[in-house]
Amino acid sequence: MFHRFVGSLRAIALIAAFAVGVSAALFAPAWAADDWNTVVANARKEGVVVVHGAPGKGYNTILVGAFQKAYPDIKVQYSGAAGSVEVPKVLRERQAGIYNWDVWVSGPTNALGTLKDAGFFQPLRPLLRPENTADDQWIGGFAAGWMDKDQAVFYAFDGTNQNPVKINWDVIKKDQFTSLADLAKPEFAGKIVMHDPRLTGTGNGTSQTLLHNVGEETLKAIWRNNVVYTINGHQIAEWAVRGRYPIALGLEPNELKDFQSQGVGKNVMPVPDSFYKEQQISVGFGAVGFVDRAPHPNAAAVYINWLLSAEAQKLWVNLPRGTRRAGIISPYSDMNPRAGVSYFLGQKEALTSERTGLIRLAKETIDGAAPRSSRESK
Amino acid sequence: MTAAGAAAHPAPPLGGLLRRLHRSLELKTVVYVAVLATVLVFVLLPVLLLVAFSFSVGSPAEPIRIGLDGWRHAVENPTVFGSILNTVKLLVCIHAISFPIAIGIAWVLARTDLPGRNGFEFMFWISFFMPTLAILLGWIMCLDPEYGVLNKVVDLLPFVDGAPFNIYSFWGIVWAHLACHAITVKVMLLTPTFRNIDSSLEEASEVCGASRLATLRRIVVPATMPALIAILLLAMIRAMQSFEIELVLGPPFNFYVYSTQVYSLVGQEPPDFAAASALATMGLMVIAPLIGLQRWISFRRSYATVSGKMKTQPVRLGRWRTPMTILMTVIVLTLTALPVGFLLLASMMKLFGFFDIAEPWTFDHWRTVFTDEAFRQSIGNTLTLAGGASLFAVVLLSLVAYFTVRSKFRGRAVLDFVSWMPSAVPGILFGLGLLYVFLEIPVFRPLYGTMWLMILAVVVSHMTFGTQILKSNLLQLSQDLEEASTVAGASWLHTFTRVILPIIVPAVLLVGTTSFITAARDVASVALVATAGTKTLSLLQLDYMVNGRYGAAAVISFVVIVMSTGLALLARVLGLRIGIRH
Repeated sequence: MFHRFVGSLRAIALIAAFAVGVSAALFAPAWAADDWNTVVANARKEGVVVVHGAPGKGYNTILVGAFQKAYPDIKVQYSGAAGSVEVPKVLRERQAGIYNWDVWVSGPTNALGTLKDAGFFQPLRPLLRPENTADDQWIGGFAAGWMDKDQAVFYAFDGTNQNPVKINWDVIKKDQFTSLADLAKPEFAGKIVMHDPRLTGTGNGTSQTLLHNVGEETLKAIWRNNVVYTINGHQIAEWAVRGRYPIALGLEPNELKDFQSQGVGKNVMPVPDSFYKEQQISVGFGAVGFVDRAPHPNAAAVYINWLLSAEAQKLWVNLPRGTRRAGIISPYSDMNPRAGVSYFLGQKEALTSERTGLIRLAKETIDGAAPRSSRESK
Repeated sequence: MTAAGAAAHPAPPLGGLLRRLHRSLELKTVVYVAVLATVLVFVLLPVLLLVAFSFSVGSPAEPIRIGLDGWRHAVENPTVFGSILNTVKLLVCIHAISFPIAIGIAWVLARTDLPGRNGFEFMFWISFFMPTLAILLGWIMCLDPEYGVLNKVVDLLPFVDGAPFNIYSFWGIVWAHLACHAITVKVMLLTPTFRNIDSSLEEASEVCGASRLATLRRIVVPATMPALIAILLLAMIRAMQSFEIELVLGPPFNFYVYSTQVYSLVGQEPPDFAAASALATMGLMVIAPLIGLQRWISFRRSYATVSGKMKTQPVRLGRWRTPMTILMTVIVLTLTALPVGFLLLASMMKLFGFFDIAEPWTFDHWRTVFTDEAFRQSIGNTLTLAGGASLFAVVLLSLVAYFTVRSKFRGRAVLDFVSWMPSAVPGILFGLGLLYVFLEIPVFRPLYGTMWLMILAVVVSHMTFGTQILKSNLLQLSQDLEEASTVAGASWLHTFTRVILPIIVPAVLLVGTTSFITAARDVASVALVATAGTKTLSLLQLDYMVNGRYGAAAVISFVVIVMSTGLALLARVLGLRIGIRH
């Protein structure tokens, strides 16, 4: 009797297991299937992937053009609008029950600061192929690239040596400037331009690196040293190149590249690594998330795996940027992290409070300072 | 048909007249209610939402919760009040200089026998099409204290020591505004208004012994007072919202204005919409009484100068003809040829302003743009958007202006007041309000992501400018034209389309053309409602600029100018054919 009862239980358990297996096979997301060919075939049927990415033709060439070349059957609908415009828009869309987006490629600020908390992303790990998650394929191992605390939804593939302090050495003599603390010296007052540290982004990241190297009091002294603040990256590059403001804090490499490729500003260069106790790896726009309720999940799976692949990362470094993918060297040597230098990933969610605190401190220090109308010359 | 033609119809019997009057009244009421509803939903509602944003706490992801954090952030910022003071100083200086100059230019163009005056007027239209940033970069190239071309030339003079000009200064910013649009916009708006003055008024003044200047001061200016006040207010609001010039020229001397503060709050990640909306609400509170004052001045008495007996005889310039022609040529070339030159330079230089590199010239930017698939798509989208917006703007804004000025409906003052709102708040915040309206009202949701909503967004964002142009012209029309048409048995629709519109056709065409350029050039109004499939030239240009590809962005500007100039030429030819001839 007992055996019959146990046998029945086994039969029920077997049937239940079979039913669970069948349901899992039927109802599990298609992109989770082991058979990559099925995912790709389904992606081709979907035919479209909707991607938010970075602005500009350089990014467009890779995030649209190169993918399109690799998968001609999957059309990329792409938007490179600024996060400040796109984020409120997509959140409002979702509240209205409109789910348009598949893949989100951006910097971590908005993604972690606003989108993640709104449930905008779904777990990324299940759709990643083994060759993209192997530890030996990434500098510092695969897990080092997670930007969110839970290591689940937003992954950074970009890894660019930040080098935030650049100097026009035609104007400033090397023996005049021998440490980062020199930025606070009165002799450099009125000679420094900085990406505005009162806002999120490059200026905030630059302040973070300086904080890690010179401490809070010196950082405040630097901010007060008659620095010119702007949010126009091209203007910072042009001023540094022309020598109008020979010390540039937060000068983006791609802005400088435009000038140097034409033979001007060749001596606008980063200060030596030895000036830093600790350097920052910047992610730029190079992190990716899989959007919750993506309308084209298979196409999204194909896109994200392609983006993390060595093939795509070889193209990414030409932006110019660096990559965390091991064995791929940026042709722009300043971008590559170097051996013997200590680095930190400043845009991780765990360091959000440090960055927010720096914005507050910058506002208090700069806006609280006396107006410098005397600088208006004529 | 002209007013005189309408009046020439035989009068129908009394019963028929009453029936027709009843029918036309019904149609008129229906149209008025539709126009009022459109304006309330698509203009007033987004503005009310903007005020609500200022009291909301939390991220845009969350439902609105009430709080004062936004106002606290806005007010606690120690630079805000300095910025507002800077804005006031700047506005006073810009308009104290540009307004008298614009009045003088518009009077010469509209009322005198200056040779080529139509061509000169058209050149001001072209100047209006110029993108601010391209003109600004050009002037920096001339007036930078260290490498400015003009500074270097002047420095060669024996009695000059060092660079005399510095564009990175308060007066540099004032100059940039004057050279960009401050004078141009006023001339564009004032010229049609001055043209509608009955020249017998000027003749009477001169017969009484008044000089030309005295006639301008005591006859022309008072007769066009509503238009002058509206234009001044409009120009002030536009200058208040513009931020490109201050954003580029302000940082070296720590100069911030109201609009750059709003821009910073909106541009940061995540954007602080609550604080930005609080600042925008403060701006609204300042502008609202001015709008009321403008309305009071405009409607306290009649300013009609166009009647069935109107006469236009140009004032003879006499010995002033040649000097005036030379002066006008210099002004027009400074405002148009120079910026076009800057734009062409920017589109053909490897590095704008760097003449000393090995090979400074290139066609790469043109190749980049013309081989970009996105460019071809954007051209199609832009033509659809701009064409649709021009047509819709002409219809809607003509009706808004007509009902505001010529009707006795209840609520017309509200219509007038609300028509100012789109310009009185920063574009991106108004766009956010519109986005909420489009997504929260289910009936509009299926249209989300289509060209229809973009057209609506552009027309609404252009509402203040377009309505004020038409309103100023309508205020100058005497009631006797409509009365004559009605007495002759014409319906309201017939009177509106066959009597009123032909008289104000230059202003209508101006509205159509400026709506076209707004649609082709404006980013703020369309950025939030555009999708990847409906990208326009302005958004493509923004992509290029954000990536530092100023050369490619200059090419797009050039394309937009060519398209707009073509349309403007067509509009003027049509205007000459359709419009009444003075």
